[in-house]
Amino acid sequence: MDNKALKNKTIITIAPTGAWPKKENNPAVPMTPEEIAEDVYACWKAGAAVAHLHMRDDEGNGTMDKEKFKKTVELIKAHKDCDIVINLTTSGDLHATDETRQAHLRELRPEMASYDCGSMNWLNSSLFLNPPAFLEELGATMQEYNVKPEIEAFDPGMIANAAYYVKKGVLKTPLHFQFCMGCANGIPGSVKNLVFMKETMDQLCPGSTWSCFGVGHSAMEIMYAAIAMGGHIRVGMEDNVMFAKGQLAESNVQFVERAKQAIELFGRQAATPDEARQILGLK
Amino acid sequence: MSWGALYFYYKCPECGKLFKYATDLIPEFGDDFGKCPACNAMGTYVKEGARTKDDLLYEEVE
Repeated sequence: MDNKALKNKTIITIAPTGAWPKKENNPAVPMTPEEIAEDVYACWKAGAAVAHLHMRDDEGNGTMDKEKFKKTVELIKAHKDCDIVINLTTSGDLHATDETRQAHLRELRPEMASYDCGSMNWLNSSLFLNPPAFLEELGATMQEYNVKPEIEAFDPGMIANAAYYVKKGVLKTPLHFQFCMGCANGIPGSVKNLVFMKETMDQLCPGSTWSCFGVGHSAMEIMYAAIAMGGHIRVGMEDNVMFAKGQLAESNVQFVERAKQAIELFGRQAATPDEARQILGLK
Repeated sequence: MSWGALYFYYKCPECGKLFKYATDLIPEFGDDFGKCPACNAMGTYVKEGARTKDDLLYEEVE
């Protein structure tokens, strides 16, 4: 497919689990490798091209347990017809070591993984640490194992930090950003702020692709704005356990179906996994 | 990794209504942040968190 045709494609990333929501927040959050794999397969059938995966331990807490990642990826790939792009988190447990945050990348070599480009406070109660030494090592690991970083930017400073790591050779262009908006202590979710994030990216890291999501009340605003601005979108219970105000989501598929419908109503099309690979430079 | 919106949960000292505000709306609401959507009294802070177990008992103010 040529570049002109790809410009009309919007990538839907499904983030089904995340690190914080539990069954008590929404009974439909998939937690086990089996639940996550089946959920991803259903979301792929509904139109998702990329799956951003977190794991949970047996108590439901976020974990970077390599075996959980391995089992989940194996279960997804057991569906021979499913070609969804696998994107593994490197930030699934605030207490994980630098080593456990990368071990699964070395063993599983996913096509993509998250790269959180700075440190911040987590829900005003803890620290989300991504120190310089870790980011340099993670960048090197991703280059060595041919894993495309998804640069998660929670504020504009993290975009500037990505530009720094490009100049240092830690990150290779073209970059792909995930603008994480509305998370406590990050940039609030609004169209105005999304435009600012994109303009900052275009200035500091020209030629990059981008996706975004808004948590809470900004979810719909950010999704529609991203479609209109030619970006890509992420949906799922990692970011929102509510489907609408006062209404718990029934499933992750519900989010994907709504995203696909919004894309098509706007006159665009949801990208297939192979189209996503071309857009993101994975092939 | 995301972690959802952070909410301040309130109880109205006048009418007893339970309600919540997302903290990223502090700039938007200004001095009205924390006021009861029913009677406009300033709410009494109960707790904060990212969708606590009883989240649905609290009306979201947007």
